[in-house]
Amino acid sequence: MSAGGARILAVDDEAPMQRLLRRNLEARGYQVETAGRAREGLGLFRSWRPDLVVLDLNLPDMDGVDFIREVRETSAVPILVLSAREAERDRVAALDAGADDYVPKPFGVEELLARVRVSLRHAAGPLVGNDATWRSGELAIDLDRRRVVVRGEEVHLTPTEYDLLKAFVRHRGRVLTDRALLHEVWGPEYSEESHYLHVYVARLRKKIEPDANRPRYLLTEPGIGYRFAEDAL
Amino acid sequence: MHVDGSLWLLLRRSRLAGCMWALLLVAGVSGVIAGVRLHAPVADLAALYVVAVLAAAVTAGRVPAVVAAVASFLAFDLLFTRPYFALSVASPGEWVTLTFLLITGLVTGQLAALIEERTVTARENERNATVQYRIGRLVGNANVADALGTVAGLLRDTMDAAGVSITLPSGLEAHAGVPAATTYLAHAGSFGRGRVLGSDVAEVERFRPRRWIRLRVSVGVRAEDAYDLYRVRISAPQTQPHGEQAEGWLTVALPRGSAALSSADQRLLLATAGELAEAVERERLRSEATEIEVLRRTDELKTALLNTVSHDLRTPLAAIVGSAESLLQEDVHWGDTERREFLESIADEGRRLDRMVRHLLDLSRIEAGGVQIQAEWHDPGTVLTDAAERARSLHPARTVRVDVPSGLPPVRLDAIAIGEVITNLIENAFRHTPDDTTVTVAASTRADVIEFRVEDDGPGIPDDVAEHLFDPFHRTRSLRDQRGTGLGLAVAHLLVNAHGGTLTAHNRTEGGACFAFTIPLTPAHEPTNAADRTGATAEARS
Repeated sequence: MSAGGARILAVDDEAPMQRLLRRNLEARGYQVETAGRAREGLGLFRSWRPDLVVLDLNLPDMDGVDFIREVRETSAVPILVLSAREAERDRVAALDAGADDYVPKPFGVEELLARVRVSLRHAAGPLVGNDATWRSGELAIDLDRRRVVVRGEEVHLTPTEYDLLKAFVRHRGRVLTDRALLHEVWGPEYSEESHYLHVYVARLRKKIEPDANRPRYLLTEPGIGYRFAEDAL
Repeated sequence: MHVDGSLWLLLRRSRLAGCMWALLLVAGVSGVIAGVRLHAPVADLAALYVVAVLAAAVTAGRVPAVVAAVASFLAFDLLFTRPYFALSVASPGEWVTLTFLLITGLVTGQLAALIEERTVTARENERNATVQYRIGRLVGNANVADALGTVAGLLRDTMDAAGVSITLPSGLEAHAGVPAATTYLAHAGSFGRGRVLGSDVAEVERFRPRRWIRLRVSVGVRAEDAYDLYRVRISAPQTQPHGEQAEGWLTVALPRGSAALSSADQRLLLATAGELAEAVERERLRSEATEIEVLRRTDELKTALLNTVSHDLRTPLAAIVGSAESLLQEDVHWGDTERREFLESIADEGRRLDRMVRHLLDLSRIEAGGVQIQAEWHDPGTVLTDAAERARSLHPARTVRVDVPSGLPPVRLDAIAIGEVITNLIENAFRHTPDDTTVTVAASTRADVIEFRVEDDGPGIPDDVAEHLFDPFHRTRSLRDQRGTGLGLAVAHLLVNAHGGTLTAHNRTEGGACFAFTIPLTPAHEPTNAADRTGATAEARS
């Protein structure tokens, strides 16, 4: 499933807008799911785990700002707000609730695509260069394309493996507890299931480490959790 | 009673009358003394004159009391002291008696007059307090205009004046009193210049600090039509920022020859003028406050409406711009399906935008009163069938059933407006029901109205939106695409109201929604201006 670009969830109650977003984003290689209602969108968000959410603030069953808050309770996924709401306070409310960017309707398609790229790049934390790719030694992770390349060869990752790697990259250099990783990747209800984490870390190591027994990237911090080594060479 | 009252008032008001009255009293007492002397030679009856002095003091005041005292002295000297009818006095003892009489007369007279004055002042103060309280309540509570006539009448009765006239700075007038004086008072001269239209002003006397004047005027030729007018300025404490300040007057007419206005009456007039000025100012402030509040609310509503309009216009615009730009993308080669989708979006959303602008114009025209209902006699069945046909042509995929009984009476209505109402209702039904369901339009007569109905087999109207159904920009979320303008029902509602009918909505017991509106079969009056109607309904609804 890691084939294809970043996963983008578009939540907008206007059918023409849904179609427009889907066609344009798919044409650029992204994977797109659309939802017309907030509940449906939140369901897809939990089950499909998108890399970016494009959100219209006017939803039939919930205010967009509340949608943002609900997502932010469990996730740091970038949220790009699209709205015809004019007032400055609406923009401020959305950004304060946790949105990463605000694009007023009507928008230019090129601008929207550029902002999508920016949001995906920011998802990896600060990056050098202008593409959404994080590189370290022989490992390269293209967040825009959802591609992981090790020693010049693309590695196939399951969605959960990819999400876990993304979380490591975002917090690279910092020690992460099992609990924090489980919360971010699997969700708050899995915070105690450490064995999930250990299994997936082991699989990831097999796929990206030169030697899974002597990891260069995914380092174990005994008694605490893991750390992704930033300057591994 | 009234004659007595006037007599006492005359004695008090007119100094001359008071003095004459004093002399009369002294003459009376002299007569009594003379009578007593005829029967029994009583030596010293001079003390009886004190009675005359006291009576003059109590009934007519200080000056008549002095007159009575002096007259008593002279009368006793001339009539009862030897030598008679001469001012000289024979016995030195008589001098003592006479001097004693004069002093006693003067002192008791002044004392009695003083007590009487105090009593009168107390009574007047009490009267003023009562009257001022009543006036205060009159102008404080109700509309000043309503209270003005009562206030004028009250003042006239209290002061026993010939007439009272009140002219407020706003031009509002009220009069009480004799007709000649009334008309005269209303237009008598300007305050400062001492000129009175169409009449002679014998004298203009200014009273202290420019608050009021007395005009001596004659109305007509008869002596009894001569009045003294006492006029007090009623001026709002605050001047208008632009233009000269309008003036008001409180004028009291007393018959010529009356004594000057008593100080209690003066106080009452000044206090009343002040009260009226405050009432005028209060009313001005109140109306300004109301005006400001109305403006503020209108402004809020306009802002909210503008926000909604700009949001709702931008939504289809975003789809149009986005679709067009997508087609212009050079790095993507769209397939036929996608191209068609984008083009359809542009066309659909363009039409939606057009519909929205049309509805907005309708709404603003109706609310501004620019839409005249052109009512003519029409067959209701034809109007309904035409509207259903139009809806069918716009939405070929949908089914509309027309259920019109034969023999419907002709109805006076604006066929274009009612056609628009029915089309709006049908389109509304289309938007909120699945494609495979049928929308039924029907008409029937009931009592003195004809009822048009648009029924569907959809999910019905959700409870939480029923209340706002006819508000502009209120949209329920349908199970289908949300393609409404949010204005169709509001426009329909206003147009039906303009015909003197009502538009209602309910859920049918067998499922689905029913929108029904009535039109009177015999219009009570020509349906005219839609805005008048909407105003009335807005009130009824609030």
